[in-house]
Amino acid sequence: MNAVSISDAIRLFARQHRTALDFLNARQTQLLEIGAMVGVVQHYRAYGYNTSIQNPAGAHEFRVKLSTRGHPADYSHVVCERGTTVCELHSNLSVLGGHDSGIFCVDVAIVNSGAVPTTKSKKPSQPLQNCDLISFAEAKKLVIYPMLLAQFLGIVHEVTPKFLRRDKKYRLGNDHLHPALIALGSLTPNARDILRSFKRRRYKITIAELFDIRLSASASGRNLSPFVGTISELLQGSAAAEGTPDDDSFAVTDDVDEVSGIVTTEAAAPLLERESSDAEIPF
Amino acid sequence: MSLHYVNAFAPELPYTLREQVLDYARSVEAASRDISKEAEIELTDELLDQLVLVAAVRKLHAICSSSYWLLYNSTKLLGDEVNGVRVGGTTFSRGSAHFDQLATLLGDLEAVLRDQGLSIEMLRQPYPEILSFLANERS
Repeated sequence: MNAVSISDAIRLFARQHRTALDFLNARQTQLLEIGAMVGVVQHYRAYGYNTSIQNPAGAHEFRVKLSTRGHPADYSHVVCERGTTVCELHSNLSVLGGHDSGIFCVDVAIVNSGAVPTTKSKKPSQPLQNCDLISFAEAKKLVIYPMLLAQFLGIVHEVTPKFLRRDKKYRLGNDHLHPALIALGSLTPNARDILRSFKRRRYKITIAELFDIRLSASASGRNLSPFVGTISELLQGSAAAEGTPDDDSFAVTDDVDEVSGIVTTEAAAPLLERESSDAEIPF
Repeated sequence: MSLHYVNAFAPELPYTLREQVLDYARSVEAASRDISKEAEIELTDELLDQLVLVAAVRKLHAICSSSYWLLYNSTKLLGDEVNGVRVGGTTFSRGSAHFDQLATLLGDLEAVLRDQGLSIEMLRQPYPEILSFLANERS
């Protein structure tokens, strides 16, 4: 390996592609939030829901809300319908806390149908009533380290505390997604230990690490949720759906740590076109 | 010293990406003793420099790759119901300028790495194997 030559070539590459790299630099987080919404859509499709996209009047593209500002009616949402069960998915929705009148903004909100106004009035939009929030997902472009888990748990505690109760009988029906932490990075070893503890404490949350890989696999198989199962299972399901592994496939070390309701998997050594996105030191 | 080769190109990257690449390279540098032990290879200064360079390249490739594939898969999953995804003032769709830009970025980076004899498959190997490869090449 000629390290000097490689270093020079990458320097030249970075100079030549400065515009694209600047764009990436500015949009990395937004791209992940788009991926989070699409991943939740795919979860509901995988469980037999029909999904339809509701755009604001006159819009022909899916408008993603990426900040706390703005009226929900100005942005797209997704309606998920299965028999008599109907829910909606909204991006960056403000919601009242589960304990008090604190207002929290969640990246993807899964809410009861009709709970979010689709037209604007003269009054500013009000945060969603907590009772109308079914579940939610948060997206981070980070490696999953202990303090990130603690922060996510804090959000669940404030917004949907019922998911942290030690109630064996409690289950979220209709195949709804439990509160989910979506991350581009892998789990640190310490974070993995903490997830085992979460399982023992019967927390009903989903940790979806290496989410771009999960999304990639579920994109190939229409009945696969990117939140359910190991990455290996997702990829196998994806390959089965298409007959042969497609060009998005990965080889995966099935180092599965199935924590029942808490998904912890480790993907390694992707073989073909794609690569996991964040720091992962495989030991 | 082990960031010698990385520091030669990192200043050309935008700040946030540069920090991501450097942080990752430093984390591999910090773990280099364990990597060396597992690979059963004595770590020289030059080997360490090369290992850290591979880590930085791996991270840069991962950043470009994941962004492209997130967008690719998002547009694929939303299907034909919409013309694209609008974020702020930007619409992403397959065939849009931004999408093509990301595709070109990833394709060109992979071409540069291939030209340098650095395969994507090699980048994706566990670090002890990469270290073994580098050591064997030198011997």
